[in-house]
Parts: sequence; structure tokens; C-alpha cells
Amino acid sequence: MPEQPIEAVMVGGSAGSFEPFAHLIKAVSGKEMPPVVVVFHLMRNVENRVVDLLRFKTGNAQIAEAEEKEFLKPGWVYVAPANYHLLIEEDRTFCLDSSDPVYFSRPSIDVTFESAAQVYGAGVVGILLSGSNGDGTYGMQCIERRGGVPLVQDPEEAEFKTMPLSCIQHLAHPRIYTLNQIEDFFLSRTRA
Amino acid sequence: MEHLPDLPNEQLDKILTVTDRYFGYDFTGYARASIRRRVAGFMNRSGIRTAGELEYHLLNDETCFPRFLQYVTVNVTEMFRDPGFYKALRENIIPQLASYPFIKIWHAGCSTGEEVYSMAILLQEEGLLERTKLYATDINSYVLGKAKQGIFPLRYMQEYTRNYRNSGGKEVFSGYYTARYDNVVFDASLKKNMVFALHNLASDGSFNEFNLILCRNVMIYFDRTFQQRCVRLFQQSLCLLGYLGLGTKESLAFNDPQRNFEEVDARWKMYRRTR
Repeated sequence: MPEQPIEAVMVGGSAGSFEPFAHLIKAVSGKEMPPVVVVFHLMRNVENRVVDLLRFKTGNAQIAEAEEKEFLKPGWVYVAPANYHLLIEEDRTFCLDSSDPVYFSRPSIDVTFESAAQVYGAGVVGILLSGSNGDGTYGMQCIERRGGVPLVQDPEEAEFKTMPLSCIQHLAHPRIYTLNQIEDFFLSRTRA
Repeated sequence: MEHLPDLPNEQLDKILTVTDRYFGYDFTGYARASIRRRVAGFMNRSGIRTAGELEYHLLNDETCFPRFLQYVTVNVTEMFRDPGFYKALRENIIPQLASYPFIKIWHAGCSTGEEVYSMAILLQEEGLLERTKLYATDINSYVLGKAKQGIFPLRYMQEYTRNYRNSGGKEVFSGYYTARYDNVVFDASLKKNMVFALHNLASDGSFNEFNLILCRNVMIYFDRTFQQRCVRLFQQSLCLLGYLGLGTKESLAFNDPQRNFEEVDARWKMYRRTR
């Protein structure tokens, strides 16, 4: 059975997720990657330096804040802007929404993952990294239910275990991977 | 979190046709992903499982549509939201407006009115409130009623005070309101020149000529076609060289094909009508 091609990668994380994410992006740079969307919990009304920091850390220039109605392009990494929920439309464009926070979070990992699951179905990989709340669990369930691939950072390795642990407890078949295994997963599924 | 019901396109279309034909609210030009999530969220909260069931309730239970409208229109707002925007307004735009004998401002999609009160405070401090009229409109009569009252939860004041200070506020913020129990009421003097009215950006036309229009985080809920209609409406409703302020993640980049506007502040998304 041929493997389902990966159409998009969704990454979520809170406390302690920035470094691992930067590490991953650096590891797969130069590969033919599908669009990657990352949702970090950020402080509201704080100047968002995440994009600059990521570019600096990874040496990858194709990192940008997600813009409304913009197409998700392969080879790009998109950061969810602070203070908005980030959704994906069927035509593969971004949709922003400033409705109420979900679990005190805006952007919410659940909201983005749920919408990606609806649009990409089995073509989406969800990655949940370190964090100290339950956001992301529901979103990963949505991805799993529609046949996508849920990868959870090994709680043993995560700086904050709550987020990955909560997710593992609620998934039928979570793939619990260390960062190196997540890296290998992509290296084996992408071309240089 | 409970799993939201799936709402395939044809089912969502059916619901949006009902709200348009029976209630006169056209959501067909709204950005799909967010309206889908809101409708599904409403179903979830009301214990409704299918689109057919929702349609039945909309048509047979007269309390259903008002609740539906309340839920699907996003009414999240705050005072001095994005303090930097208000700072730019205060320093760069308001002095320009001061040259007019009187000033007309339109808050399009004002929701519960926090933005209108913020503007009134700003104008008061710049000595312009007396000769300004603030028009505040929304499609949702419930939130308009709230906006008219000018009563807000006390628990928000800490954050609003911080926003106010960061926006270049010159006074003691608590001087603008009176606290009672869990709420605060803003000074009646701020309300004197406010006008509240129902207006639907999707279907209603221009109703006045303004020096400044604020429409922040409203157009993000619309699709391209709808957004362009909105921008045309704003152009028709602004005096020449009048200003338009949008939300931080919005822009006219794709919605002003005729180039009727020029950008005056790229960071805070301020534009000016030049044609």
C-alpha cells in the first residue's frame, strides 16, 4: 500500500516548544517539505518576534507569519499570528478569526488542527510538542479521526509534559516520538 | 472539547440560504472556515445534531434565530485594542482631523462599543469631542443595545487601563467611568455625540460622508468578493483624503484594485482615500 503523500504539517506547542521546533525546521531545511504551520501560544499584544527568531535560529528564510487569504505554499513555514485563531479554507488559503479564546488560548492549537483535519483529511501530519496545558488534544483527535498522522513528542523528552501527556491519553493510536524520530519520519518521507 | 458536528458545504449552504431568505441576513459571503466553525459551535451548544434539525429550529422556534445571530457573529472587542494603533491615531491622524470644522467618524461593525468609547476618550483628550459625531453600526441589534448603554464588566478594566496607558492616554483612566458592583458605566458626556444604528455591511449602502472610518477585524470574516464590496462602500463613504483604519492582520493589498487608497501606516494598517 503506497503511503499517503503529506500535504501539510501542523505543529502545536506551548511552553518549551520553541527550541524543539526550531531544531526540527533546521533539520529538514533543504528538503522538499509540504507547507508547515506552527501554532505557539504567545503573549497577546506583544510584538511578535517569533518569525525573526526562527529565521535566525534555522537559517531558513522561508518563514513568515500567516496572512489572511494567502495560499499555503510548499517549502514555507507559517507562524500563527498572536491574538487570532488560524483556520484553513478548502481552497488551501488561510482564514483568520478573532473570536473568543479556546482554553484561554488564541491562537488555539485545537482550532487550527481541527480545521486542517477537515481540509486535508489523511494528508495532514499533526505534531504536538512540549506545553503545560490541554490545548491540542482535541485537535489531534480530529486529525486521527480523519486518517491523518498524529505525532506526539515523547513526554520523557518534553520540557513540559502536560500537553503531550494529555494528548496521549486521548488518542487511540498516538505515535510517541522523540524529536530525532520526528526528524527521521520527515527525512524518510521527503526528497532532498 | 466535544467534537463539533461535520457540516459539509451543501448543508452549510442550506442553513445560510435560510438565514438570508427568511431573516434577511446574508452570510453567504462570509469566510467559510470560520462561519462553518461558528454554526457547528452553535449546533453543539444547542444540542442540535444535524443541519436539517437546525433548519427546523430556525423556522419553527422564534427564539432560535436571535440566539443563532448572537453566536455566529463574532463580538470580541476590547478598549484600545492594539494600543499602538491608537497611539498612531492620536499622533498622526487626529491632528489632521483637527483641521476640519467638524468631524464625522464611522465605527463599522462596532459590536459592544468598546472601540467607540475608546475613540471618544481619545477625542476628549485632544479637545475634539465637542465637534465630532461618532456613528457606530453593527448588524446585531443585541450588541448595539449594549454599546448604547456603555456598561462593561469591571473585571476587564485592569487590561483596558493598561491598553489605555500604552496608547498614550494622558489622564487617569478610572476617571472616565463609575464602578458599581461588577460593572462600570462610562461617563454620559462621552456618549453625547454618539449615534448607534443597525447597518449590514453585506447589503446596506453608504449613509454619510466621513473623515475617518474604523473597521477593525470585521472584514477578516468575509470572502474576497465581500471584502471588495466593503472597500468600495468605504470609499463611497469617505471624504477625499479621509482615513480608513483596519485590523492589524487586514490590508487593502488585494481589495483595492482601482487604487483608490494610499497606505499611510503600514504597521497599523491606516489608509487614506486619494481618489
